[in-house]
Amino acid sequence: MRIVDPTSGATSEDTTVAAAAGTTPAGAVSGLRRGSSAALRAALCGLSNSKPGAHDLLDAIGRRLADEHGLGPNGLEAKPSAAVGADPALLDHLAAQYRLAVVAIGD
Amino acid sequence: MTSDVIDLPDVDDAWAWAAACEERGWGDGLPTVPPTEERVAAMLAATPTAVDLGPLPPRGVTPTPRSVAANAVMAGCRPADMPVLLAALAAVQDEAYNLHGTLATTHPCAPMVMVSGPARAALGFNAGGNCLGQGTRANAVVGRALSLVLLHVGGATPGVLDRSTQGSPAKYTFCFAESDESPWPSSAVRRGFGAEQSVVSVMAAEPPHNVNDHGSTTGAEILLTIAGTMAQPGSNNVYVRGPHLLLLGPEHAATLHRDGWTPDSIRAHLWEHARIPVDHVSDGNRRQFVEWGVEPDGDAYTVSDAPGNLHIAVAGGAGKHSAWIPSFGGTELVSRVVPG
Repeated sequence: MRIVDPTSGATSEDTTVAAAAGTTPAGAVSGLRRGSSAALRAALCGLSNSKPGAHDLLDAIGRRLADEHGLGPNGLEAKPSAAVGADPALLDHLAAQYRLAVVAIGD
Repeated sequence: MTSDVIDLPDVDDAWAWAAACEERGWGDGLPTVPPTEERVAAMLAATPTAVDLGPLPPRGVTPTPRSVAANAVMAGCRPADMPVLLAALAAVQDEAYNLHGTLATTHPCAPMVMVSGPARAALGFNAGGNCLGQGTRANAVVGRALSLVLLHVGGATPGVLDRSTQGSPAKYTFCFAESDESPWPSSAVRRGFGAEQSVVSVMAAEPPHNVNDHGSTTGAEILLTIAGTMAQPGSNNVYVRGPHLLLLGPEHAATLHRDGWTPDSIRAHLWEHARIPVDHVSDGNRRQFVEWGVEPDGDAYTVSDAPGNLHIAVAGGAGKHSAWIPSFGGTELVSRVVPG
């Protein structure tokens, strides 16, 4: 059977180029590896979804990453509203200020 | 762009196709129709060219006419359903709808689709009995196709980028039409569209909350029951605010009309009377409401931030039921004309 891929579509060239060059605004913490000291000493930001528990969660994660991995200095930022995605301007700001970001999905 | 055709040499019956979908994470769990090249071509033959679609969050991929058609085939659409599907897809891409937020949230909202105008009868959308339930192909497949596009192209995979805590049955499909038994002009006409235009309105919505009132004999009594149903502290509208929809059953609507009520006066009355007593809201939740800038009005909370956020339409069959449909809050009711 030959089918048309229901997931197919066009991706913007900008997105493709940025991803290939590793210049996406916020790095994922899952990319961290123990022992890669240069990367682990980069500045870290916690990006809260602005829900009540997110701030506490990110604060605790930041302290643990600092204590156990020497990662810091740490910052904490928040979306203006939990109901909307992060504004591109906020992501640009994070990209300019920090090397890594942790995004809280816990409420 | 690489080819969008996938060869599945070992898939030769419905069971193998279902297994292939499951393996790839495709579909909503129910059986789908394989989007063969022939079926997609037939769907595209009915596709208007005037619909401009952008990248779909959260994945950021822009759907092509072929991928939309493939999802329409999978959902069980007929080629004639394509213009309605495309209008709905364009509507959820309006910035005011907040597609990214509504797809990624823990809230159980789903893309509600309301069809108004001639397309309703032409395509057989159900605006009568059980219009919010099962049993009508147009209602079932158009709502389902929209959800499949958002799943497959948008990447709103449950548990991955769709983070809904519990989800809702409305996420399978949530589509109905406005009734021609309404005593007032349709909501689409009241929103400025022509009666001769087919219009699709979308809102990121919770499933309907039933309003059962068999005892009331006047419009004012019915509104008391509706106000009580709307006055609940657990909706997003209380603190995120935003739109909500009152879908009156035709019998409730007829009683209200008989007693001189209009959509505007109903809206104004419910704004004043659908109030949530402060002591129905926990201390912790009151603090959260304050963080969202929401304070009580006297000894009660309003159900949203303005009377105009309550939209009113009529649909359903015989019986003394209506429905209140709260929303995600951070969304709007967005309407688009169905392309011809």
